Amino acid sequence: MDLTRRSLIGSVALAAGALAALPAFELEEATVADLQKRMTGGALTAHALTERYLEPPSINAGRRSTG
Amino acid sequence: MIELNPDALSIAAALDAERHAKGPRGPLHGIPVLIKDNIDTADRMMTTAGSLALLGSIAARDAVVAQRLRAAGAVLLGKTNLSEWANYRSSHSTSGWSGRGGLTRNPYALDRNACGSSSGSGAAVSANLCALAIGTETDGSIVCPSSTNGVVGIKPTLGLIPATGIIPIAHSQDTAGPMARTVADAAILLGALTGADYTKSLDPDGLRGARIGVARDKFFGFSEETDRVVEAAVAEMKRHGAEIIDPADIPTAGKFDDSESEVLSYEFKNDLNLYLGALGPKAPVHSLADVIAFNDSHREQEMPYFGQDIMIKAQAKGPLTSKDYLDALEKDHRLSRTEGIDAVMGKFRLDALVAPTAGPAWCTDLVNGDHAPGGSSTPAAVAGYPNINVTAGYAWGLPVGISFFGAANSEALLIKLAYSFEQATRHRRPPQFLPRASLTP
Repeated sequence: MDLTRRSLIGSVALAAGALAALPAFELEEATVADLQKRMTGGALTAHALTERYLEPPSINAGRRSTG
Repeated sequence: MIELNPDALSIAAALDAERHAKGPRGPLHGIPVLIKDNIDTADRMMTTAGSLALLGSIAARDAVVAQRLRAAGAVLLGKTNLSEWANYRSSHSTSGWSGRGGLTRNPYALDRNACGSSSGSGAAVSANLCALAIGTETDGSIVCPSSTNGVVGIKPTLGLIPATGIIPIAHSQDTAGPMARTVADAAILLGALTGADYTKSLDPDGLRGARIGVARDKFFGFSEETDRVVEAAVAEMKRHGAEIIDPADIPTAGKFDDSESEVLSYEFKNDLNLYLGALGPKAPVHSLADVIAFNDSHREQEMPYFGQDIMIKAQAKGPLTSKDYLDALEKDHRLSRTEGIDAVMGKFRLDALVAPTAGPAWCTDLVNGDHAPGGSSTPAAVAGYPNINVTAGYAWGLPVGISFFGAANSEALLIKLAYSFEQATRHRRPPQFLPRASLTP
């Protein structure tokens, strides 16, 4: 579990929900142009992108260093 | 984050359908954006400035900022934590803490401060919890958390983005502004908020021939590591063709802190009473006096670490027709504008001034409050002039930002310079969520 990211976010009640059926796509450091390019090309939807950002932090385990 | 938008997914789905049917509205179509919890949204999210006194308060109308984001096709993903009341409660506060949201941590070192008051917006953008965020600033509240969290922040000219629907401190200085990981993204977001196209300013060679003044007096010397980083940044600008005028001091720097404090105190009482008074009979509080009383009666939840001396001082102020207020406001404008930024810009025919935005993040200390060593936000904040933070480097793994600031309505020029600097240096590194900064030499 990514405790450090959980600590960062705090105690907010994050939305649950099924994980997006999103192909491997690294959100880290993604720019608006990156995201628009993927949405324009049909590889990404606003819904899937939003779902990714709403994911509970524990689901992101392994995405980042915990120091 | 302090609250997520329960309608975010349905909004996103509707925007997908619209894209499919009619094409995108523009570059923000379908892009999730977080906004600071002092910006009204007429939806199922509260707007509380982090205070339990406003728990349950749902705005009747969107702030202009929220209206424009929705019109641009952005998905309002949620609201970000902040220094409670945008840090206008106590002179012993801890930035990034609010009674409702708790403590915002710095993603580079979790025991360090995210600065404020747009703490959550800065930390969330840096931590890749969103693509873009909105902060607000009265003095330093966009640029400081941008600096300490390693992101780009634009504090625009006063009035460029209407502040209607933002829980206020002071109408003479309050403004919303974009926070993003890159200058290009911040420029896109500023464009959506203003209707202008700032992407035209994204010139990688923008530093060439630019006259950039280094504002040293009062803004260097508070941190050796910060000076080292910013000196190197200035040298980089010179290598990329900028003409450096050094020093280019603001002659009045440090001479309007008292008048600024007076103006904010008067305006806070007036402006907050107007905001709270317009919330309607169902609102939990209706005036600054009500907020002070609420804090007193909820001391354990609201004031476990610091009090409300700034609010109490503001409550004692008279109306905005008071001579003390009018004199202070005139002094602010004269010293920060005509005898301040305008004077040095004109004297040296400058395109922009640069100075350290802030030092590396300090360790959060809820017992003693903030101990920020210094910063350069005040001249642009009091003048109502634009200011852009870009990461200039790191000290012990902690981001240090440089501010580009200048004349009123010079956003396009400042974006050009900031973008060129960013592209030449590419300093930003994503945070690693370390429990503490690595201090091994």
